[in-house]
Amino acid sequence: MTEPQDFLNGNSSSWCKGCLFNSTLSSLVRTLADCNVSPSGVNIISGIGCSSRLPFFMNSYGMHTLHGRAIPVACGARLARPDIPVIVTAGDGDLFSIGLTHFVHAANKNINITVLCMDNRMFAMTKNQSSPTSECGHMGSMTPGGKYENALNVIELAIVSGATFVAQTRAEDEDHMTDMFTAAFLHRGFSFVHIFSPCLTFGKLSYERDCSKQIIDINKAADRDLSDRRSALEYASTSFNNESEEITVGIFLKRSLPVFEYR
Amino acid sequence: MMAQYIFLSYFNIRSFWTMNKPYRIKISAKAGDGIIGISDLFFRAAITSGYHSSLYKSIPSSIRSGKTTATVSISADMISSQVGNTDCLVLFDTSDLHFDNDISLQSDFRCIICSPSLTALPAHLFKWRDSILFIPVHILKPVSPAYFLLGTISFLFHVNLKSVLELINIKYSSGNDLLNSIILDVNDGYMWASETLEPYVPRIQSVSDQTLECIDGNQAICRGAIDAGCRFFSSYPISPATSIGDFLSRSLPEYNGIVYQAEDEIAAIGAVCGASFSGVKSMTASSGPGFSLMQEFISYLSTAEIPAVITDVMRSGPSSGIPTHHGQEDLLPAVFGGHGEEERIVLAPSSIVNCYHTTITAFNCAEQYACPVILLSSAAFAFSSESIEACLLTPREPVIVRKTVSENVNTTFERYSSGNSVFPVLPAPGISDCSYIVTGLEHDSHSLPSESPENHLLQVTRRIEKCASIEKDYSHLIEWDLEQTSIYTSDFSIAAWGADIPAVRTAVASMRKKGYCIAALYPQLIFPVCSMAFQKLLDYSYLLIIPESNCTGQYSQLIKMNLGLSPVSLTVSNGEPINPDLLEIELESLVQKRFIND
Repeated sequence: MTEPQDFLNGNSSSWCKGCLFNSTLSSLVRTLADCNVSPSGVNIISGIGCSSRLPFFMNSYGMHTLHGRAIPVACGARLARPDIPVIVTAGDGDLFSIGLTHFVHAANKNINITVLCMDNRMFAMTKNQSSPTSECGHMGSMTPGGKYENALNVIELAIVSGATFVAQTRAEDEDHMTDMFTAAFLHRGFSFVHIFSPCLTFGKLSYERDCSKQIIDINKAADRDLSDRRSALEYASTSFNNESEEITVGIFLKRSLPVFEYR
Repeated sequence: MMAQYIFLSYFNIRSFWTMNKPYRIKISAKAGDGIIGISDLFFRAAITSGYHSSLYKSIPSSIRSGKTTATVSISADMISSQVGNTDCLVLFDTSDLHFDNDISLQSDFRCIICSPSLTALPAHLFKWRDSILFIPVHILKPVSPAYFLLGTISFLFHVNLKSVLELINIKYSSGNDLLNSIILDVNDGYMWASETLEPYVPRIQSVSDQTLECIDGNQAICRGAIDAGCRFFSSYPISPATSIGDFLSRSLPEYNGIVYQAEDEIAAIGAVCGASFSGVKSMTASSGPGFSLMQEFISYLSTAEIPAVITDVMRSGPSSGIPTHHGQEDLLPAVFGGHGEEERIVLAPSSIVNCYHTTITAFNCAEQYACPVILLSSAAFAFSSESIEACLLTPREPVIVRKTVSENVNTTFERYSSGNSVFPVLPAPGISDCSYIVTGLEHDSHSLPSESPENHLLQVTRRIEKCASIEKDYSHLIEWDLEQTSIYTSDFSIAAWGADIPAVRTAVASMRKKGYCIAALYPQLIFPVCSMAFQKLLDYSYLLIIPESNCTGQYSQLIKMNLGLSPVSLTVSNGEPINPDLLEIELESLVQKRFIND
């Protein structure tokens, strides 16, 4: 049996004080302990950005790779060694700006990796530039007139790309986050968990707006078939609506389809 | 001073034919006329008929236009260069025939014109009619001209008809109507020739007791990778590297290996990075444009010290360039294409068989120095096939087995310590019980990010210096040809790299027969530069000549920059492999000018 602290290497995190990514780290190590994984039997792979520093704080195998390229590295690791679980911890810029192609293809191939998107809705490491998930009007340092386009709906994107497990959670809710991580980790196939993690340093307004919103857990709100892709898309269509007064969390989709590496 | 030589024409006529030199049959047609298929059959049948044979395909990158040529060489001996002056030119289109004034037709030059549209030889070709075999429309019309020709040339060059028909049966084993009509056409061509013509060459005895195999450069790389223990390959389709993925996707699973067609070249090398970190020897392959996309990851692999082999099957560039044609233009990008400062190992095979051996060495270097190794092959090798004795494809060196477990591997393991042994321990998840991360950030000996100036200097220096001994460690990468040569007495020294070596080797051998004294160096180690070898080469002659298939003399530049030497650079950049016969003329002219000037 492993304990959550077995997966922490004792290095103090380099994130800002109070950063919600600390909670994500905490949930991840709880998940791994709950799933009784050995620290030397898991590979945590990240790209570049605030979120991608996560493997440095873990006692496990890890790869801190290139901006946007965590997923192809994870695919190679998983295909070469299907006995070793692979978790990608990446940010919104990493996954949906520079690395978007890789996300779509890995999801479509249903490669058995778990992708955790630690979404702070901006490029925070370079001090607040708009990212694909920043809301329309976001005042980034390179968009002084406000971001022109709407936020990319990454839940819809994940579903249409072919991900077989799609969930959403909030970094403020460690228990729910752990439940989603565990379900994703145990899923056979490409699993994606989107985590609302507003940046408290550069995105205080966004955070405060989120705090006032009502949390809807779609798994409690309705009795629905999780493998129903059409229904998942209907729920997903509201998941990024800036005008909505709700934040939807829970499992949108969970389908059982052949996994790429065992095809 | 950079000299440059120009090909006289796309074909050149050799004035003699002996079985000591290969006899070259060059077949030229519009793309889609089927000559690649028949050339391949003819080449394979020539081998089973007792010849050493090679095939070089020059294919247009357009889908269905442009000119395709296939050069089949046949010989009683091993063939060192797949191209050279043409002895027999086969044309499907008389508009292709440009006999310029600077080409003199010799009595033994042959030209075969298959014309599915003309009834008689065009008037402007009359003056060469003694050298031309004209196969007119009334003979070709009812048949497939390509397969009729295959039968005809099989007779003319003593290639066994039975072997040709057996190969056709294998190729078209699906057993449709096409098979019967092809066999009829080949038979017709053979019968027509045997009734009306005499063979063009004397019959030879079988050349080898050994089993001969047909192999091309890309297949040799694949075989080398498999024998080196590569069990993961990822790539994205690109000419002329594509067939590496094609071949491995069929053969690697037999060795429990994985082939992954990635969504782009960045993903391909990324997957290789992940697979290698997981404990599996890995390779990717691409060509110019794709190789450029991989540069960021190559720098990452250098910094994180992850072994990997990156094969660049070079083509004529820049940008899309001439995608299916030969060029050796990626040497400097391979050496200096990264960002920041890193020492890259760059190797280049010297022949098709050497593609096999150098690939194994590339994997060994990657494991020993824990770094990416770039293997520079070329379209000239990718599109060349040759007959080789099967026993040549056995490793010339022990294969390094990755060390993943060690007593020292634990939570305090210092992966990036300067005190590490020659063969590094590379822990892998699920195998070695430790916590271990790789990163592209500058890091300390424990792999934790560090911005300390002292640590940066220490780590950068360590990474650069760790492969300083490669020239000594892998001395078999330095190939010498010092036949009939002694120190200080050579007319000149010559060095060549990659797919230019076969032509240089052929030209050097021919010049020696004329009395020239030449010291030749054929390094497969391109970078770090083999400085000891070049110092030794200068002992033979201070006149150092480096011919190469690019415009700017990239290897010459590298030698000049690293060793302060001033080689004479002979460059040719026309999308074709160097013609050894023309190179010989150019070398003689250059050396004689030097003597006059001296």
